[in-house]
Amino acid sequence: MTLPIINTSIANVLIAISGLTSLVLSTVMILRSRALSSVFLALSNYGLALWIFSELVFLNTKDIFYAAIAAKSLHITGAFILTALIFFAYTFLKMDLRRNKILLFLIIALFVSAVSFIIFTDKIISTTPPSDSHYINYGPFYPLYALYMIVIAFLFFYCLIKKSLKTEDITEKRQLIYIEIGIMTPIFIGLTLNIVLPYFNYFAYYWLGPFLAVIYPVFAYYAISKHHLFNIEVISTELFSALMIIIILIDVLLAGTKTEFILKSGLLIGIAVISLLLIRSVFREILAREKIAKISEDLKAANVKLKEINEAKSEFVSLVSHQFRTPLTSIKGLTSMLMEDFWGPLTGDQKKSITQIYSSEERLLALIENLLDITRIEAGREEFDLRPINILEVAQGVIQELASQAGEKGLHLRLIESKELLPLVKADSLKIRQVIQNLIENAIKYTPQGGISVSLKREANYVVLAVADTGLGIAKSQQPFLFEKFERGKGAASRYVGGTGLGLYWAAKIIGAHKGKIWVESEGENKGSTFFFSLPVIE
Amino acid sequence: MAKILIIEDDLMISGIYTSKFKKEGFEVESAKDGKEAYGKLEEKEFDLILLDKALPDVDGIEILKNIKTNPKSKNNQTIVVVLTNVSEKNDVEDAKNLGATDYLVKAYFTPTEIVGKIKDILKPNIY
Repeated sequence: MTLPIINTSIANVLIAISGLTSLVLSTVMILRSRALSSVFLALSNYGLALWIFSELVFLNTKDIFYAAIAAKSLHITGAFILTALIFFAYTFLKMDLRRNKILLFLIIALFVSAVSFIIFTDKIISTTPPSDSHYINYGPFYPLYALYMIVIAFLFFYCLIKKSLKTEDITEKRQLIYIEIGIMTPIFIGLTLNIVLPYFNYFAYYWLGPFLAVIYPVFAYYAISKHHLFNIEVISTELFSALMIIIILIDVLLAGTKTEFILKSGLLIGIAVISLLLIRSVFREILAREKIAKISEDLKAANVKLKEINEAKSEFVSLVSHQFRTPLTSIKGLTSMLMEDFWGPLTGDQKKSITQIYSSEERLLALIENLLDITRIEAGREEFDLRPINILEVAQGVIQELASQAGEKGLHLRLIESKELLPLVKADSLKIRQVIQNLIENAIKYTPQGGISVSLKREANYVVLAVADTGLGIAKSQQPFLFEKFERGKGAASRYVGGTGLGLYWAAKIIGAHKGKIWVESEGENKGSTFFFSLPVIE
Repeated sequence: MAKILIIEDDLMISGIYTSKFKKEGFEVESAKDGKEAYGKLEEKEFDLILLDKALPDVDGIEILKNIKTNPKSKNNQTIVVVLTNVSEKNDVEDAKNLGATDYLVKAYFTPTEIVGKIKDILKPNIY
């Protein structure tokens, strides 16, 4: 009797690596996840490792007895792999084990009898030597064994496919598809090459099984790990390290001289330490990356929520603003009719009061319209009537209208004519008119003496309008916040005039929506200020 | 004189318009909701309809569609002016596409201004 000879051909090394990979993965799997399904999957992987080592012996031994023992072991472990997989499928898919009690009992019974027949009889695998040690002498019950294996394999895939078609959870569906591809492929190839074809004396690809088999634990582990990418990177690192260590280990065992042995052993230890560090760092990095990914996801969700809240707010403001228009319509209608002596002539004081009510109503209406504009722009629903317009004409119109208002305060209001001919801009004439009006009215409001000059010029591809006053001015520190929501030059209100500060924010929104810019320049308090806005020229 | 129908749910506003239009010599009827409006529209032919969009029982746009497309309607040739406080761009386009002659925002105009606009619209029909 000779001991099995393991020769060191590349095929053998690779088969050994497959087996070790299976062992490592199964162990890692059991250590990382205590779920029953993981335990069954790991068990089937241990079976796979045993099957691979049996194959290694079977392919290398010159001894007929050992070959027969290895052949029996191959068929026992084969049955074990599939049986463990069935239990994995049932636990992983959370199928009712009690309802399938009879079926599972039958599977165990079949497994036990198949194993008994293989170990104690020659009915499936015969120990009587075949003509060549690399061929198996099959017993009369072998076709039954093959059928049993095929049926169990199909049962396994039936469970998975049924579930993957039924499930609506995308993650679960993806997991199942991985398992289906990753396990189905090697098992069906294995069934064909190692169970069916050999029976017809076709052994040419008997050695291929172990290589294909290694696909399966990798896929299986990948699939069942909750965070797919997380584990696959660690596993790849582990696999790579294991592969290096195995190759060097073989090299150590093959060392010719003592010096070579010591040198290579040193290398092996070094590589092992580095591998360990590598795996740890990959693990840590992935952990950190996962954390970041989670934070980013949380942020994204928070952002979506904020956007929703903001939209709801815009909707609400829009609804309320429309509602406000109704009572204002009545106030406007009645006051205007009173002003027009609809119900008979009024005294001078009465008329003055009614006019004040009317102008208050108009101010309130304008505020509501500004609010509506802002919410529309913020919601991306602005309704501009964009046409080529001449800003100069628009500005002239506003100045004419506001001349008396400036005059009442003893201020001058003039337009400084530009020498150059200004190009047209594409804009909503009404809105731009309101912006100019807003800037000039502000200037009048905040200028106790002197006056306001409006000028226009072309700057690169923009037409720039400037409203310069000799008024209160704005401190440098205040200027950046002037166009933000509800900001006002500090102190301005307490010293002179009221207002909500909505106007400039609104103007900035309108100009921004026209792809223009709005800004202010002021040398400081009491040095006057100049408000600018620019609008792009039509190309 | 021109016969106009004011379809408006706010009674204060419809009262203001009614008195103003009557003073200007128009023959005015009013309806406070869709149900009343359909009743009046079946009853007789008007020269012009002032139609609010936001009504308690039906969208004014539905009434407009019915006036313009119902073959039995006595008023399918009548001028319709939408007079409302809801003014999103889509609404204006929808109304014009369905045959509204104009779309006015109530809060923007005094009754005198509205009467002026209506007279302008009716002018070609009077002569």
